[in-house]
Amino acid sequence: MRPSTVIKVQSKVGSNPNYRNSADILFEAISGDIAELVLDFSGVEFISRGFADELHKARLRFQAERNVPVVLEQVNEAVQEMLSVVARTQEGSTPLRVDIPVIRVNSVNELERMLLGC
Amino acid sequence: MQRITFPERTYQDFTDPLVKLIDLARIMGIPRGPVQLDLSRCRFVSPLLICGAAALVKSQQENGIASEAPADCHDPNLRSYLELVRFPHGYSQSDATYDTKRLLATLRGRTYVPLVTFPVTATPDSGREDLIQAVEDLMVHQCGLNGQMLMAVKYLISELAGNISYHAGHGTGFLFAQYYPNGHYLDIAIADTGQGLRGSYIASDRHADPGSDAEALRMALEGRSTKDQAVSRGYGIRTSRRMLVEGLGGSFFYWSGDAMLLNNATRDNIYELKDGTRYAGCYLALRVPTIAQPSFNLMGFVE
Repeated sequence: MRPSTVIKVQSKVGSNPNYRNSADILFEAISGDIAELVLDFSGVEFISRGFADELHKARLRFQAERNVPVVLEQVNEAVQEMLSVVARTQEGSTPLRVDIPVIRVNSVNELERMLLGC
Repeated sequence: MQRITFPERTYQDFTDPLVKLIDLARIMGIPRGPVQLDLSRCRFVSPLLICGAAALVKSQQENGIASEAPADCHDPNLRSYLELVRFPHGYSQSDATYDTKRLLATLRGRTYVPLVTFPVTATPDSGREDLIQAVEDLMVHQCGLNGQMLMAVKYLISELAGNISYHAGHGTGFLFAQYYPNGHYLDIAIADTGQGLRGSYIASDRHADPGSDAEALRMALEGRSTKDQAVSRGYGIRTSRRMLVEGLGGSFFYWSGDAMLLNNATRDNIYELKDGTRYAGCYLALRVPTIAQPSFNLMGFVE
């Protein structure tokens, strides 16, 4: 029977991983024939959107390349919600049109008058 | 070396220190030679101005111009403050040692964090993460944040400071903040000395030159990523702005090149300053209310 590999996420990237690239660290140096990869999120309080996004991609990539399921455990509500949001976004999204007025000003004094008290 | 007198004080409305910073950039851009910022007459200076000034000086230094900003001022309280936050050089990850940890512990009862600087690099850097994390934790402690507000502040810092690493291309990142307990808000400044928004789009192979800094800023607000994985990336500025302004009732300011966005309850405009004043990298100022409406839900804004 093939073994499972458990990765303690907190010990690899801390309790509040912020950076996108940190997600790849979780999948590094996982060798051998394993039945599943378990990412244990105990102690992880919050993940940034960038980290969640890259984790989602890296997880799908790992599963496809190794044909090994990746399972998440001990995931708190905030982390679950962030993971759900990026999963939805990765289904596809188009940028929203932003039509903010562009106001041309010719001096800092003019700008100061426009922003006074804002 | 030209001496530039720093404003004696800034006021607590959000835009006062920003206008003073823009004016400082204008003056520093005139001689195109080294300048010395004279803080001797200062009495109260907003962190939004301090962070921006430190980044302006650093940007000139990185371009071979020996500008400086000695923390010499007559007011003993301000001098002590500037020395403690280590203006203008800041604490870098090379300082993430015993001294920094001791300083952070000392500041737990104060209302400000130290000025933090970090090199721009897209590669994972645990030292940088640890330092930003420690400062973020200090802010959360000082403001007594929990629940949705805690997550909102962490989201804003992680997205906007993270953007620096991915987009600036080169240079130095800055992070600075101060909590105003009487006003129930937190002012956060994030800056870099890199290539700016338009430069980031030009450097990417996914977009043509936006044509202007204002257009580059508009594209960033639409969530158009400069990076090669278009889908699901590029939302940092868009969601941060919406969460802060629409969700929390705060203020958001973003300046790159000659374009600046001001978005709060009364303004949602991009200003294009055509007198030659520019900020080469990116500069952000956030005013974050520390008490959220009961209905505020972070995840309602995250895309």
